[in-house]
Amino acid sequence: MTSATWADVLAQAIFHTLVASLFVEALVRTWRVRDPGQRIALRLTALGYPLVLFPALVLLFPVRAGDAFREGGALLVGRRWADVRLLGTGMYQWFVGGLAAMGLALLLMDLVPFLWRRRRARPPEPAAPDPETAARLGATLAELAARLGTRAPALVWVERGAPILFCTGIRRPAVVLSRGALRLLDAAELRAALAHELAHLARRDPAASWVVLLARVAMGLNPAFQVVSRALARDAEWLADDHAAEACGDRLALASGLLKLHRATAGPPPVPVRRTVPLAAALSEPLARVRSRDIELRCRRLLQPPAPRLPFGAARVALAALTLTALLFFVV
Amino acid sequence: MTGSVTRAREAGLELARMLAALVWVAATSALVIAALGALPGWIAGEGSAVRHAASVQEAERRLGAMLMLPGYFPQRLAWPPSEIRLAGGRRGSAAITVVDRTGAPAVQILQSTAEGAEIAAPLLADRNVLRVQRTTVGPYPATLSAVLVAGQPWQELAWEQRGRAVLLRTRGDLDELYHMAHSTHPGGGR
Repeated sequence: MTSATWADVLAQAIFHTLVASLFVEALVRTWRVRDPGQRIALRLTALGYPLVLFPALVLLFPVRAGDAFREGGALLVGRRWADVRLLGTGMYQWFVGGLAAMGLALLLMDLVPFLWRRRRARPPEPAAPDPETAARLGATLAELAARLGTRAPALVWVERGAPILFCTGIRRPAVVLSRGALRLLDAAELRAALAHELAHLARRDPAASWVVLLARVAMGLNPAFQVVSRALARDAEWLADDHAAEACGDRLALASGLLKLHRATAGPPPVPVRRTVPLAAALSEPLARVRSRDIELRCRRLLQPPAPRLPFGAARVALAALTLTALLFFVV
Repeated sequence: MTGSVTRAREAGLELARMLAALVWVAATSALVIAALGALPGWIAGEGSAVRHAASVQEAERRLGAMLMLPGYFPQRLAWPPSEIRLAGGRRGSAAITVVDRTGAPAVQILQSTAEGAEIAAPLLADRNVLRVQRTTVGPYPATLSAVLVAGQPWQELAWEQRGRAVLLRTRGDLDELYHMAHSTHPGGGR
């Protein structure tokens, strides 16, 4: 006999993702996972939970929705919180409403500035650096791309004094570079920064970024999903840092370049340039303080040797997913 | 040889550490979730045996039986019930509270839904019987009691109908209580 409604399923999805996120974060800290690749793999478990594991639980085990399971087998029945009233409304409704509002706020906090910038932004005017600079940049990009095991992307030159450096493009990857960035960074810093952007392209982060953004919109009412997505974007930056440092062989130059670019670009850009990496843009621009903290953390990481990978990486992810699913089976 | 033994020992230790941490995190999570699950009952001052239902229909569905309700409802009572508590799982018992127009509890209907079963004890907690006298409800032998429930005086009629224990309480007058008791049957006046 089924007593769960669609509202219950939605509430469960929100609560399950919250538990999954906290569970994964606890594991990341307890296991001391420092390698960004392994952190991404574990956090994808939390991110994938509402998209894959939760629907599987609902579809494969309809018994969970029955009264008998709710009365006897479940560890937590969310609906029971409806019995505790606050201002005439059940705490269950307060929790679901509050969490959904928080999820929506977190999404809009990133989505609205991103859409606003896209509306205002115009593509960079067609321009090219002088032949000598073009040849030098082309050679650097080709060499770094070969080291990172990817094709050399196109270089989009922006003839502006503001420092601009980012990667873009899903089908036609490109690195966008401005004269301002070229002036700001010395040769080693520029090489490291270009390696960072190439590392993003090698991992197809622009495409992944769109996928995560779409998933975030689909999970708009799910606050834990929004938070984990942001953490995932930060891990992606750390991973690109590590790959770039390995490719260019100079962690300090990358840290120094990162710091210079951050200082030069703190605050809104005078004329926005269209970016096609929404998640990175969404992460890095709306909250300046958070961004500064992120940059500080990245620089600190780069001042140390790369974090070692923990053994049994795949087993850890599989065990985390299995344990989580087993635990949340009993939460309805 | 020594190197491979050391490596195997290190791998074993790392594996043990990994599993211990996983068990620790999983056990802590399970405890927190279980505490969150039990908290509503603790806050309401009821054990985990008592559940709430949002409507008579939901209560009937969860109990798997049609509830006995009075067909006669005085105008002073407000329908639907203000609170429906269940205990004993499927084929367990229900306690329905109906308030009057001022919002004060006025009538309570308690019943078991399994033949020959008593009303579940958690629903009868905090009840002190002051005096009892024998009576009848139609053809059924019954008892009329003066009771204190949570310190408040109530009159209650208890009888067995169709093998099910029924208990009707009121804070109104006795005529009204008997009138309601006589009109009680599965489905009531719905």
